[in-house]
Amino acid sequence: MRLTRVRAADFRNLSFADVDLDAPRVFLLGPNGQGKTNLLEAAGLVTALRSFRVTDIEPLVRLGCAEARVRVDLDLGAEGQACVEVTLAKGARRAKVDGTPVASAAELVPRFPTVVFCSDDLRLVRGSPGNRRRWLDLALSGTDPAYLRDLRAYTRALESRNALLRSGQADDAQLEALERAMAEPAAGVAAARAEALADLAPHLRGVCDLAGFSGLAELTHRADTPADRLAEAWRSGRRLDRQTETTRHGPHRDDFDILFGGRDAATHASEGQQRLLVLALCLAQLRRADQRAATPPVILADDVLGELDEERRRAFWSAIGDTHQVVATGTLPPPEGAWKIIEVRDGAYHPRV
Amino acid sequence: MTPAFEKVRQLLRGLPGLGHRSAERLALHLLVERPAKLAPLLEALGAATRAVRRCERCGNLAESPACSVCADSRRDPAVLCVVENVPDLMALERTGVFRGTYHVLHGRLSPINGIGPGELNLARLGERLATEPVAEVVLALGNDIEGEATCHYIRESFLAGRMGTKVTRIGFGLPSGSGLTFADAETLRSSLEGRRDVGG
Ligand SMILES: [Zn+2]
Repeated sequence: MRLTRVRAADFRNLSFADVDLDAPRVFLLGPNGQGKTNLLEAAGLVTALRSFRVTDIEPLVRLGCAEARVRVDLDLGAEGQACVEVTLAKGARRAKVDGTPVASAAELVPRFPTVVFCSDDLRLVRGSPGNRRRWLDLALSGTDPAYLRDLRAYTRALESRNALLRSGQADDAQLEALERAMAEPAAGVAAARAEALADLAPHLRGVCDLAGFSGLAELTHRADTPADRLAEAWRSGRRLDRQTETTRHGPHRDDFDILFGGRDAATHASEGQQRLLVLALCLAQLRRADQRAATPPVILADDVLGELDEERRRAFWSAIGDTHQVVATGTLPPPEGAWKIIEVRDGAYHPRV
Repeated sequence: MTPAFEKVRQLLRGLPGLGHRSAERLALHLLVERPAKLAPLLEALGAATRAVRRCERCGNLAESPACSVCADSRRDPAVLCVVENVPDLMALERTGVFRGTYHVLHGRLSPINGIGPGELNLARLGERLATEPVAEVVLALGNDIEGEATCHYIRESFLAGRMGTKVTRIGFGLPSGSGLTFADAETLRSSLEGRRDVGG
């Protein structure tokens, strides 16, 4: 799959943008805060109508506008062309593929796969459990339609339960009803995360071997509460939940461990090793996505290499190979290679000729 | 924009399904472009305000104490179908296969929007279950989280331990998150016929 053109109207602070991306490797180059990431974010909506930066719709709609519109043209190889139109308004995300409305975002996942590497990923090893959860959620939402459905349902249920707790009217009957409705998506989310981490681990070790990384990397899911004990945890936690006005247990408190050489990478790997470990995780994520997608996913890489030296950056891009389209952003020009470079300044996109 | 126009636009905007553009278009259409349509509309609204009310038994739209379904003696009181709103009831009626009666909740449990049991037509449901010969309750609510939670609530609060009453559920197989109203008649017919037993 290849993104050939992205148009955005009233998206973030862009009133209008129309950018030709029709090349195997595209690099959006410019200082921070000019709109590089906004365009990448708009393009990423094709997979699951989900932004890789925020979960709410509100920040995506330009201030004072009723809705944001994004239109992405795609080249699907033997299957021809497609056009995905996305409309985001307060409380609603809608999409049309070639003019036909889609019933749910999950439908788009297998059709228009993208894999996102984002600069937040750098906090993966040492950051909070929330950083790791977001990374895993994003990775799975882009590959597993069932996960996206369960995660959305669980998130909505959790917001409902917390709203009920805050309302001061949280009687047992209403809590019980919500908890029963939550149980199924919660179990789905937890199982998919554990399975995905088990899937990712051998890919991660493969990538580390290639990079000549000594020390065995491992990933283990750490559930806040095992799925079969959640109902009981919610029930017996109601009194304290009412006091704290929040749901203290569930998959929204899960985490996973990144072990390096058998020890916690956050405390036992050097800063340099941690950075490489994050890049290895990105590549492992890509390998897993490749196995699950019918067409090679497009890679959206948001300033993922940071200030890494030239040699390491070159090694990273060559590890990706040439079967995927790459759309990357950065403040430094990419290493040599056939990149289409687009300079970004003040929300304007100028192809470098 | 004039102040009076702005007032109308604001009020229209508060109605479901109207964003600010469509509210503005509607206000312009009625007040400026086609003012001739306004008088009959106001008259109809006035007449409807006096005539239309909730059916005392089921909550459906009615112009007398009983709605057209409840007034129809051929409808089977043993099968009671719980729906979220009147459009859902109408969608099920269009399938032509359901011969029981309805109960309209006028919403569903939604803590995010501040809708609790007290805001729904639930007390009347309890009374009906206590007094009518109901053998099956069909829970025809959307299959998203709020629909599911509302079903659980009804089962726990009104149907738990009630011997001899079958509880079934439809809403499966419909696009996730969308209500019954958006399903076509054929889909609704097959979900009604294939409704599954979810116990009491
Ligand atoms: Zn009635």
